[in-house]
Amino acid sequence: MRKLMLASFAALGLSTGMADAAYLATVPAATTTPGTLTVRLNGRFVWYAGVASSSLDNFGGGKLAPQSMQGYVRLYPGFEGVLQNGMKYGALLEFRQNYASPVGASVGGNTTASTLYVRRATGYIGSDQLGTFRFGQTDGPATLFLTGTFEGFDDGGWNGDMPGFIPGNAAPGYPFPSQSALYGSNKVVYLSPSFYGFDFGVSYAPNTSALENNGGGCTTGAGGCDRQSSSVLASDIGRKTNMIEAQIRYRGTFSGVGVQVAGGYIGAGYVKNGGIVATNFKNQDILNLGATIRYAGFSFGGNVQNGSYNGSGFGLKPVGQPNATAWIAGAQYQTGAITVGSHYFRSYTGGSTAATTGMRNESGVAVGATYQLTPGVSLFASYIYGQRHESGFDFGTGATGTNVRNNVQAQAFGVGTLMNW
Amino acid sequence: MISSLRPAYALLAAMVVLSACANSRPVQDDEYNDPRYSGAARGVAFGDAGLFSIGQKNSGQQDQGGALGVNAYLWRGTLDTLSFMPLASADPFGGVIITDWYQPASSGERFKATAYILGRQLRADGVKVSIFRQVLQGGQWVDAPVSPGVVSEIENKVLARARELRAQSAGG
Repeated sequence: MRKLMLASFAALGLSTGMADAAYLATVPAATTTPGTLTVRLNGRFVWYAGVASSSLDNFGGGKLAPQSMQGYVRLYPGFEGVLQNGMKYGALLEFRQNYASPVGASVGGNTTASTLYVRRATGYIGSDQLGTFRFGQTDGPATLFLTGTFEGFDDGGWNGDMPGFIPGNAAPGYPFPSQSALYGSNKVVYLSPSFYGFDFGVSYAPNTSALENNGGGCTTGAGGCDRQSSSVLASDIGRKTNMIEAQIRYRGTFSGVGVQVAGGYIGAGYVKNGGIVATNFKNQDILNLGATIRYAGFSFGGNVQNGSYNGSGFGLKPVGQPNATAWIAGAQYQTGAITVGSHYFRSYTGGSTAATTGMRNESGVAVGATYQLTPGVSLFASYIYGQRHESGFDFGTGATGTNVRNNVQAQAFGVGTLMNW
Repeated sequence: MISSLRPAYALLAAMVVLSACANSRPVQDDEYNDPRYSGAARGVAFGDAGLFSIGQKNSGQQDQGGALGVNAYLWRGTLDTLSFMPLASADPFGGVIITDWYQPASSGERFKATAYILGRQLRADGVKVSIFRQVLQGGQWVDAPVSPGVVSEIENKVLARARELRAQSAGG
């Protein structure tokens, strides 16, 4: 009997892959029961210890020790409900911890200086048939559909918290969409159901404001308002407006090989210069595409983005700068409770807005392993290495027109634990 | 920028219409690159039941005894694992899958399986499988014991398949 069943299992492994999307259409969703309302208080605790070194560890007469520890806590309160007619609704908040550690403060002062702040605040209404509308300070499709960046081992590689061991000026900026520059704005998002393996999402944010009710606290249209379309304040002119994300994703399985492809557009206008001397910018137009292939626990793939942006935070490109490009490739293997993976990225952006500097060339590699102790609790080890180069730019001081410290490297190794509840 | 996107708007409108077609399925939150699900620790320590729920006792479906949600990965994993046997009934709300009798070719025995998905959490004790075996004696089907380990073997296959499905749907 066992042999018979095992043989059947083997045959099944070949046959189930054929129509994952169609098969999934028959699967009931594990969601809140119709007619109920569920209140949640999820959370995350991360702690790790590491050693690090960089080109900027010995700087200006000071010196860094290699060893350190770090971590954080996050809270996710929220609720979700389903009406008897199937309509879903709910809200989710993400509270994060400000990492306040003032130099010279007492140990107790460091703890009391840390505060919680609202990183995400999302409401949603939707149904299984029509899709979901999310609104608030939340992730857009470029983040939600992000594919091929391989952040699922250790605590996210270069998009995790390991770079926190490294002085900020020595760490290459992770340039892909899962970052606050995109999810921190107040927006409306539509996420479609999946049909024939495809689903898509679009989002719109009128400006870069977070969830707030004071319009930026401005007094006149001269500057400082959330709704600025032109301004005489230099601080306004680098702000994005009419931020749009549109992404489409395909997921399917062919003879046991899982395929996921996602890509689309990220765009924005900007607050125009009302007539002052300041850096002028271009519209933001970015195309991105990612793909992942999975087979028997092994997956590999990558992601590429190109367009008019600058830096690692989807900043606006100054007039006269070339377009930016970034790509990442990675692989991951999961067997049982163990996941190992790696990713490598390169980023080419305009860098400093000064005319005397060249393109900023950054790269990073991350290698890590995760052991899942039990659902919600994992142990991990991670190593990251990165470099930054920009001709005519001093990464130590930010000075331009010099080639001192125009090429910096950094590395870190850490072990830690991550707990979700 | 906006005007250059008109073809994209038309495409999106067409896709909205398509998304309402019969071959659509809902996309769950954990199929996105979502902050609650990203990171090294998959799942949550206390399951996904939440702090508390209200409304279930007053739910009409609860009164009808059929409003229990079950873990989608365990449900799909069980269906996958038992699909070589003819399906007699499957209740996705109660989490019960009952197969019809299955007789391997040229054998004097037949098997029937019942699987219960016990809740919404993807956990090792979230599925319980029962196997029934009968042998043909004198033209009559007579109950017979099942080989030791078969039940746990099948449950392990279900869990392995569920974990595989969970890994496949996680953001990459």
